[in-house]
Amino acid sequence: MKQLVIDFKKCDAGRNCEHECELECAVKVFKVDDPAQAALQIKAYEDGGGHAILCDQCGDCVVVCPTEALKRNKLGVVMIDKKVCVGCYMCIGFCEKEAFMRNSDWITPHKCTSCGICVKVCPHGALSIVDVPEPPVRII
Amino acid sequence: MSQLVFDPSKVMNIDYTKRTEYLDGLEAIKAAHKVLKEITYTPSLPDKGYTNRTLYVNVDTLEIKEKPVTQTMKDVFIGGRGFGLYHLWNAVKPTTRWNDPENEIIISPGPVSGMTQYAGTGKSLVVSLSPQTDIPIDSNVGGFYGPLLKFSGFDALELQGKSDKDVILFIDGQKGIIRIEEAPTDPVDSHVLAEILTHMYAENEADLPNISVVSTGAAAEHSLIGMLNFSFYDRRRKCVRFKQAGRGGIGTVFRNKRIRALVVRGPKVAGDLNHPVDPETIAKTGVKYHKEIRENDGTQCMMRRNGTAHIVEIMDAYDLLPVHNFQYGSHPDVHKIDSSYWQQRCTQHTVDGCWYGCSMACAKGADGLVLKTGPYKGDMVTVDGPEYENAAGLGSNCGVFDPDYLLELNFYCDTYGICTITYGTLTAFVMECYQRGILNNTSSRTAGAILSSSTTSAWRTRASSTPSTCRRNRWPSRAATR
Repeated sequence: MKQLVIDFKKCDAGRNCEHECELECAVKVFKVDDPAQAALQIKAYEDGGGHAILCDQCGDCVVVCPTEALKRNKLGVVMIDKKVCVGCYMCIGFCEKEAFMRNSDWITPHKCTSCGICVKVCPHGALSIVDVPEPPVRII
Repeated sequence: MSQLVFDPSKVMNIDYTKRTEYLDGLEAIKAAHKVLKEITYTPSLPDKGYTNRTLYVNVDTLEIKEKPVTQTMKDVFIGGRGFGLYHLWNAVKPTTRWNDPENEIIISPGPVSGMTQYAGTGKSLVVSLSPQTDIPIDSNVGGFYGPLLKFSGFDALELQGKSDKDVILFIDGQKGIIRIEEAPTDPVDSHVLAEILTHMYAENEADLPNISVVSTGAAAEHSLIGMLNFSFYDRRRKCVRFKQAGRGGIGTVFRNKRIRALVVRGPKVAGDLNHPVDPETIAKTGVKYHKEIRENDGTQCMMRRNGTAHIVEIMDAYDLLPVHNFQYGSHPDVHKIDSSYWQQRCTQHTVDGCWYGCSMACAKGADGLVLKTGPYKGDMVTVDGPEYENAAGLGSNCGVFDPDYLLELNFYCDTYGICTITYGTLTAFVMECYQRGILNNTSSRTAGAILSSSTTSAWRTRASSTPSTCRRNRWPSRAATR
C-alpha cells in the first residue's frame, strides 16, 4: 500500500521552511488557504527535532466506520466516501495517530490519501511515498 | 475477581454474513396489503432538535393528524419520556384500562435524537398504560425507528384506538406519505416480519438502512409481557437486527390494537440532520468521548467487547447475580456465561451498536446460531449479545448455563415478542414453585409440564451443576424449561 513517510534527518520541523507541505496540501487538496486544515501537520519540539501527524493507512478507521464510508482503494490507501459518511467521527476518535482531521465547516472528516502533492514541494526532500505491505485487520 | 484480558486469537471464527433468509412469499404478502388510508404531508428536518410537530394516528377511525409541539412541552416535558407522558395524560381518563381504545402507545425520540456525533442518540422512549400494572410504563429502546421518525418530520408518534383487522402504519419521510395498510397475511414473528417489511418498503439495496420496523411476535397476543422490537439494518452483516422496548408489556398493547407493524422510511442519514444549537461543541465532545472509549474501555468495562453482559462476573463476585429465582447470588458455573465466553462468542470483527456513532456499541451480535428447538429448528440466526439481563435472567436465574441455549431462549423471546427480563423472572419463579412442591406436573396449573431439569434430554444434559449452597441445603438442581 502507498504510505506517506517523513525523514526527520532531513525535515527540520519547519524551522527553515514555510511549511510548504502543509500549505500545498491545504490549497491543492482541500481548496482552503489554512495550513491547519492540511492532512499532515509538522510540529517542532522546543528542544529541537519534531514530529509529524500523518496517516500511515493502518486501516483501524475502516474497521470502526459504521457506514462503510471508509475503504481501501486499489493502492491500499484508505479513502472516504463523503456521500456515505454520516459524520460520526469515530474514525477521528479511534485514530491512534490522530491523523483524521475535521473542521467546523465540513460535516465529514478528512485525511491523507498518500497523493504525494506535499512530497513535491518539500524544500528538504524529507517526504516520500513508499510502498509497504498492508497490515492485518485489527479487532478494534 | 481478576480483570479479564481480551485475547483476539480466541474469538470464534464465525461468518457473520451467513444466516437463514426469510424473504420467500414477499410479493404475495405485499399484494395482499390493502390501503385503508393514505395522506400526504411535507417532510421536514428538526431545527435545534425539534421538528415542532407530532403525529397522531387512530387505528380504529383511521384519523391521521399533525399536532403542534408547544414551548411548554419543550420546557416542562423535555425528552422522549416527557413527551410520551404528556400525550398519555391528555389521551386517557382516570378509568382507562390498558386495553381500552383510548390508551395510547407513544413513541418519542428526544431532542438530541439522531445526532451521529455522540453515543446513545438512537434511543426512543415508548410510553403506554401497562397491562401488567394499569399505570404508565416507559420503555427505553435503541434501533433506527426514533431517529428516522424524527428525520421524517415528527417529534413523537401517538397511536390510539383499536383496529378490527391487522394493520401496518407506514411513514415515508422521503416522499411525504403516511399510509395505514391492512396486512392480512404478514408473518407473525418478528425476525421474519421485520426482514420482509424492510425489503418490502426499501426501494433498493441502498435504501435498506433507511427503513426501520417496530413489531412484536406471537406471544405478545397471548400474554401480558409483550414487548416491541425496533429494527435496524446492519450494513456489514446485511441483516435486520433488533433492540427491544421490553418492559411493561407494551407489545401486548400493540397487538391489542391489532397493529402488526410500524414502518418508517427516513431520509438518508447525514451528520447534520438534527441541526443542534451548538454543533461544534457536540462534535468536540463526541470526539473526546470516542477517544476515551478507545483508551479506557478495553481495560475497564469492555462494553465494546461484551456489551452489558460484562457485569455477569461482577455480580457473581459480589453475590448479586440472580441464581435459581434469586435464591442465590453466585454460581460455580457462571464462567460458562460470563465475559470470558461472550468476548469469544460475540462477533468482534465487525461494527456493532444500534445507531451511528455509538462507539460504546453495547448492542453485540452472536452470529451463526443454529437453532436446536422450536418451529425455526435448523435455521441459522443472528441473536442479540446477550445483554446482562438476558444472561442473568434467562441464564443463571433459570439455571441455564449452556450459552447456546441461553442465546436460543433469547432468540425465541425476541421473535415471539416477549420481554426477556420478565420471562426469565417469572419462569424462575414458577420453577421454584415446582421445586418446593407448590406446583407439580399432575396439577392442571402446569398443563402437565415438568418444570425441572428433567424436562428434556437436551436441557438435562446441559443443566447447571447444583451450587454448593444448594447441596448443603439438599435442594434439587434445576434447569430451565420452555
